[in-house]
Amino acid sequence: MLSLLKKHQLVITSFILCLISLQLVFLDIRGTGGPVIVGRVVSIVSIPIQSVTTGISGAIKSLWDDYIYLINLKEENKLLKNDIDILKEENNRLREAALASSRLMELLDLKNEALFPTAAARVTGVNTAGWTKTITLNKGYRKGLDRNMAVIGPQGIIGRIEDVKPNSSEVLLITDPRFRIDVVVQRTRLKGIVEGSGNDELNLKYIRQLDDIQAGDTLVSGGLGGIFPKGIIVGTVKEATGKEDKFFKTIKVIPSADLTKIEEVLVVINKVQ
Amino acid sequence: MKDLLLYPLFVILYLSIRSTLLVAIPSPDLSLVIVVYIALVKPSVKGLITSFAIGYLNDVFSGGVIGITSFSLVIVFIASHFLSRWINLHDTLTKSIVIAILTLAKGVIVYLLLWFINNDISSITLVIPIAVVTGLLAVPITNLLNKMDRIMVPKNKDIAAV
Repeated sequence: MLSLLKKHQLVITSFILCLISLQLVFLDIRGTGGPVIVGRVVSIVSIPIQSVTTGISGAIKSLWDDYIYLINLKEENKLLKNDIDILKEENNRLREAALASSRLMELLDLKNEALFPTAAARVTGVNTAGWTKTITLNKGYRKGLDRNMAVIGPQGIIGRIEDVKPNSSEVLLITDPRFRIDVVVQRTRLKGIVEGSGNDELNLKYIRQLDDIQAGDTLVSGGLGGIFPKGIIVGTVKEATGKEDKFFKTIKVIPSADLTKIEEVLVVINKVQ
Repeated sequence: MKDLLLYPLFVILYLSIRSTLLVAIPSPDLSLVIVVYIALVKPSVKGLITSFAIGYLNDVFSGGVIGITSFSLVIVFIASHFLSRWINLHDTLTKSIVIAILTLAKGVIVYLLLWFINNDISSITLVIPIAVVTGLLAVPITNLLNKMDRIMVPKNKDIAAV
């Protein structure tokens, strides 16, 4: 018996580990389990690396833009190019500052207009490989952030906080397959549920065949889930199709926020009443 | 054992770099290549547990559903272990193709598990570019791991090249 177990120890251990993994999956879906300690350890290790790599990528980009790109030019142009370099660098810096300022102004406008308290945070990491769509923010529970807080931007809803660590938070983007939000069609006040699909689009569900919905309709948050404030833009209907034998239409939605270019976000720090 | 502990650290390092520098391009599934490597070179319970830990770290880091990647990587480990009995994985081309297929298989497992959570999940074709890149870079990565092992393991316990 013992020799049989020893002979098949890899298969038996695999089976046990598969069962443990599935149990973890179900606990995670039900929201009853969480890798609190491991998550903290991972964040302690990864945040400095992410900061360094972000810095390095910026430095490499700057080096490429400002030096390597110009290194093979003729000698007679060197002085002139040097002046241009300085001006370019200054111009780049000013342009970057203007863009950052513009983004922050937009964020500030939203913050001032918002009827709910918010906190600004910066994006430090993006995980969009495969179907998982998350971003990492540079603030955690030490700054008052918590699980299930809404994350928004000037263009609309970005996601919700899925996991919070002392100095960072993991945000589930609106396009992640686990993301769900109740929405209202602005034009007709129809109600439905928007779900992430794992790619760049969203699915709007539970809209009947006889309901009036068309491409270009704007969807706003319905405010029922207790996470997102009511009336924030979620996206625009791309196409609505449906076969006669189906009760609900198949509706594709484009998120209003450009999730590939997020740099700063606002977190709604009070749960919506 | 020391070398097995290094792999999860590599994975965290790689995931950190990928989330900041390699966001816009399909990057190789390093975790899968490491798991296949462990399954071929160190097919033991310790190696299996390391594979599970690598999957778990992947899920924790990327904010994915906890358990999905560990489940798929345990399957990849055992599949690689049995495949190596029937297929000669010393050949460069075979190794690349098998690792690309295993990446696809892992994608299918993850897809099916996510499908239970949300059955409107986007197309499985998403995993194809990752499988191609992983297959193409599998050989240099395994060579690198092999070199690292030769540094870590004393000469009299030297492992066979994969």
